Amino acid sequence: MAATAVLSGVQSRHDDVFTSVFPQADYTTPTPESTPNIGVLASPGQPFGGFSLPHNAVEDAVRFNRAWSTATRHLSLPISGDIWQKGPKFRPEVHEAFILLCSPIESRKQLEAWYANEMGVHFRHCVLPELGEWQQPVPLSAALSLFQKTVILLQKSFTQYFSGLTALIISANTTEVRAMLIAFEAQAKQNFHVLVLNSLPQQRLQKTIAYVMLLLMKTSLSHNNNPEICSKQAECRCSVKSDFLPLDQLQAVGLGGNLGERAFALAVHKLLARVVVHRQCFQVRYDTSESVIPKLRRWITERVAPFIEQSLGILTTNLSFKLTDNDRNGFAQTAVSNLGWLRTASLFDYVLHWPETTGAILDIKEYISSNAAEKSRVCSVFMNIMDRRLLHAGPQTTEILSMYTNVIHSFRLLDTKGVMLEKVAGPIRSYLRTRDDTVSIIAASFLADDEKGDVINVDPAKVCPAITVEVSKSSLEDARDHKMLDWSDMHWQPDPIDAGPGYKASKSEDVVAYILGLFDPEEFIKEVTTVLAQHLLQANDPEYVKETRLIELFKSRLDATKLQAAEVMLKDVRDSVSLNKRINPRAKFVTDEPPKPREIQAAIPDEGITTQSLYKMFEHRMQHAQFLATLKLVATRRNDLYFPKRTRLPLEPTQPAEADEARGIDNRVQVLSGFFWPQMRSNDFVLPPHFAEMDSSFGHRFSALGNQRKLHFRRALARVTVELELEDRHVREVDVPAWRASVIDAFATMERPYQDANVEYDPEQGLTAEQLMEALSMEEELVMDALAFWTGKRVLYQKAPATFAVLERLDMDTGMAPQRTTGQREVIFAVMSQDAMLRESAPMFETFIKGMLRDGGPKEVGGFMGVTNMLKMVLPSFTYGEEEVRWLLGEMEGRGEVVRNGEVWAVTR
Amino acid sequence: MSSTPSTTQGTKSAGSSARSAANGNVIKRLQSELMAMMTSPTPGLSAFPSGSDITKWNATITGPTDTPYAGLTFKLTVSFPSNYPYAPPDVMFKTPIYHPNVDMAGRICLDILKKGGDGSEGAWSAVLNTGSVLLSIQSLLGEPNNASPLNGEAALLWDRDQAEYKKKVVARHQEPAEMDVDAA
Repeated sequence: MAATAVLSGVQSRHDDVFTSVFPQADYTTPTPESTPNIGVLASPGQPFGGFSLPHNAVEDAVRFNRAWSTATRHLSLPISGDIWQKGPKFRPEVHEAFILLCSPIESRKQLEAWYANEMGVHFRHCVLPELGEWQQPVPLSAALSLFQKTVILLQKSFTQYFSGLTALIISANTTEVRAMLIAFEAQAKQNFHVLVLNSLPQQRLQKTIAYVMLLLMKTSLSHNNNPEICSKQAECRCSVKSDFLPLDQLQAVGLGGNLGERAFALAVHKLLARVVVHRQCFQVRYDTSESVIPKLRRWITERVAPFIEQSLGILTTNLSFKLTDNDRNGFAQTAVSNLGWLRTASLFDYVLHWPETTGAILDIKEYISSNAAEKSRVCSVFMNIMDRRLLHAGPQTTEILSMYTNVIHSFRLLDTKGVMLEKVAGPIRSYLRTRDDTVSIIAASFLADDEKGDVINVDPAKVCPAITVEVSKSSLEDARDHKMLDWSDMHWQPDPIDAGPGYKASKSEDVVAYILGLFDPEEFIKEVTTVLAQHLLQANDPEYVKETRLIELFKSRLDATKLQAAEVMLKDVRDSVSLNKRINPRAKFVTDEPPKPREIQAAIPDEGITTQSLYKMFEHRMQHAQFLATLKLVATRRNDLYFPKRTRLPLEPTQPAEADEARGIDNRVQVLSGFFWPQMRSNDFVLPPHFAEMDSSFGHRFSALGNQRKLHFRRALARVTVELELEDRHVREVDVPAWRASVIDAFATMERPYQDANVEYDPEQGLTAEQLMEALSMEEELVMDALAFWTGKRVLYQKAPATFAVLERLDMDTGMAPQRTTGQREVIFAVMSQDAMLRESAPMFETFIKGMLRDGGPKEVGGFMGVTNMLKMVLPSFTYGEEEVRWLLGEMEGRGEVVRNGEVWAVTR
Repeated sequence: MSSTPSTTQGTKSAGSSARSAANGNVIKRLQSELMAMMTSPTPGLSAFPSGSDITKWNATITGPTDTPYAGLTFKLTVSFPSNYPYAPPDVMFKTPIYHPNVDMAGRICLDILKKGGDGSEGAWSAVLNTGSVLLSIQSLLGEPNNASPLNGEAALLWDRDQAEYKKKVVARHQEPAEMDVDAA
């Protein structure tokens, strides 16, 4: 059919139209073969023209038809049954047929079209049904097997389709023929590729191939993986090999080319995004605290880029394919970004475990330094996690504070300009301000014991060790100079371009500055003063080194004038030390023994002293001349005053402790300037008689020294070392608050010079808390504390409910007494708590409330115009909340001063 | 490097928004006056800010014994000008009162409630305070100044017929609780 139409152009076009509707079928058996052309008899009317007629159309057509038949028979792919194995033996006319058909371009095209159709028919009938799985989504688990099956099938059909042609090409005898055949084959291959691509869903195919490639790349990586060696050489030597990938097969069966390239690109992208960054070679370096990013970049450009080049070369059949430097950097950058994303996601944990995770922080730093736009993303990711994990009621304030210090450290490492820090620290700061205990924790942390960098013996809920460590490291720099105001600063730099509106450049760079900046300085100083007072009263270091340093630190960081109270406090305790040396009541026991130079030196106050007044202390003990000689040794003279020499004297043997006991009770008094100290506990109670005597004798000596100051003893602040002689044991307790000593003294069975003793301890009866409260005129709180303390120490026991007696022998313990330790009880601090202060000033608050309710009419507790708000407004010293107001109102209601009517309170008429 | 974090947010300010009308000195003065009145109260007198504005106070006076006003309670409002204490506070009776020097609207005619100075008949001085003003008003109840009455009838009646006067006082008076009921 087709053959008849070839030769005229018009007909050929007509034929195209026809064939487009009725596709050409199998090869055809040309007519002359079935009905052989035996030639025509020369027409009688025509002269015999010989055999070489130049244009014998019929002859041409016959030849063409015959060649077509031969060629198509050679190439035909029978649908049913095995394809005829076209071995090297084939009829020689096949060659001629191909030469005839392929030389004119039209017929070659026709042959190509026919062969494409032939392949299509065969492919649809025999191959495609086996690839039906492609029509459904491919599960990941089946991807590899389906891929392999597909490749094998396609390879098989490829061999089938092209073995005939290949055999032809091999046996071609001239190069022209061969070239012609190769061109034909190339075209046929292209048709085959188109056929394959068109009969499979491309997107799915591409994704599956990409997935399979990724799998194979991973396998290749794991085969060439040796993290131990890599970590030793500080360079990753692992590599991906392209021979693990069936690239050439893909290319051969038509899955290469654009589709293959795209799939490969997808695979490489995923490799960089998911696999590479999780590899062991690029884990966070905890050992050296270095960034792994340079290593990653090097690995990508030196190991991965060649693999990509090679693979792409195979896929595109362009073996000299080269990546440009830009591309290499692009790959490296992708990997770095992915690593950065990965690190950013767990940035919170890295910050939490700073400084062990410095390596990870450096990774992120490297990442954002190459991509500045990521800064804000890192910040926002971090802030999101922080909101979820830190800034809510769950964590303790100390935890938030130590996180805050970690944030400061690590974000300063991330961004030395501090812009990022400013962004992320804002939420923490505003959250910390909402917590009531933040200021007191900071103040307590500043003063917590710190020995050789280790914070010891602290309550984790009240002290943040991180701050303590920071304080010990901080320097006494002057942070008040503001950079922007220093016009002659030659190192001035403009604010970074990404700085927020609140950005301020400042010289102070350490954590302490950030911590101190959390709060209003005045509020902070107030709180610090309270903690410092507590601390100074309990400090054992006569030099007060740490406290001095701390106050100097505050003076340099905060407003020095506001720290006057702290300085006075420090001076008080220092003066007390020398005061105690000078008027130690022990002195009266020392006989005529001449004083040692050390004793004289200790007696000289820092502010200087005249010879006369100094000699007065020693006149009954040594001669004047002798005294003067000793004085010259230990003191320097300026303007008629003697000052202690700073040189240290050789150590003298200390007096044995027994001597002290023989003389009575060692007593040390601290003289404080009441105005500058925070409100102290002022509970009064009866002290054991010795103590009272000592207090009064100290008072006399104090005024004898020419002091104008009036002494007022705060007994609740005193601390006593108690030694108890029990029948079977000896108990010694150091630094017991005086009220506990008083209580245990009441149980003493020894003969006592108690004039006013209105309580007699009878071991048979025991004592009740009420009796003790009455006898010692002590508050219940303190009595209960003392009883609990001594019961916990197994000195007292509960003889009967609420009746206590001395546990003289341990075997007397009936086990009734609960084994309480002092730690379980609320520690009673010397400095008044908020609660105690409220109780103290309750009468004034109550007067205010009364006035308010009488003049302003009935009010509720809460609300804008409620009692609480009004009190806060008119009375700045009222810093309490509604709870306290309700308590006050309850007290007043109990006395019948106010009445409650629903939520509304009113004065009684 | 970065800033020392700002500290302004941490400042606690109790009711600062509420003191709109007055400047700092006035507030300080009023706070100290309030503190003085609270710590050393005068019997029969009390005063307290009425709301968020510390320059508006409510006051309570009980009638002095041995006067027609004995046993009665009077509510007053005290309003301090922005230049207090250089100008006197504005004091008004809220409780209706029958008195020669108080008019029907509760305005009080008292020399110390008028600005002093040259050519002025007022006797206000900055050394006076809320407590002394209220004390003067309390004593005015027992010793009206009949020379310059705002309520002429009361002035006449005070001199002529104390019993009738007392009747009028009681008739006009409303206890604060009754006023609350009226208002509600």
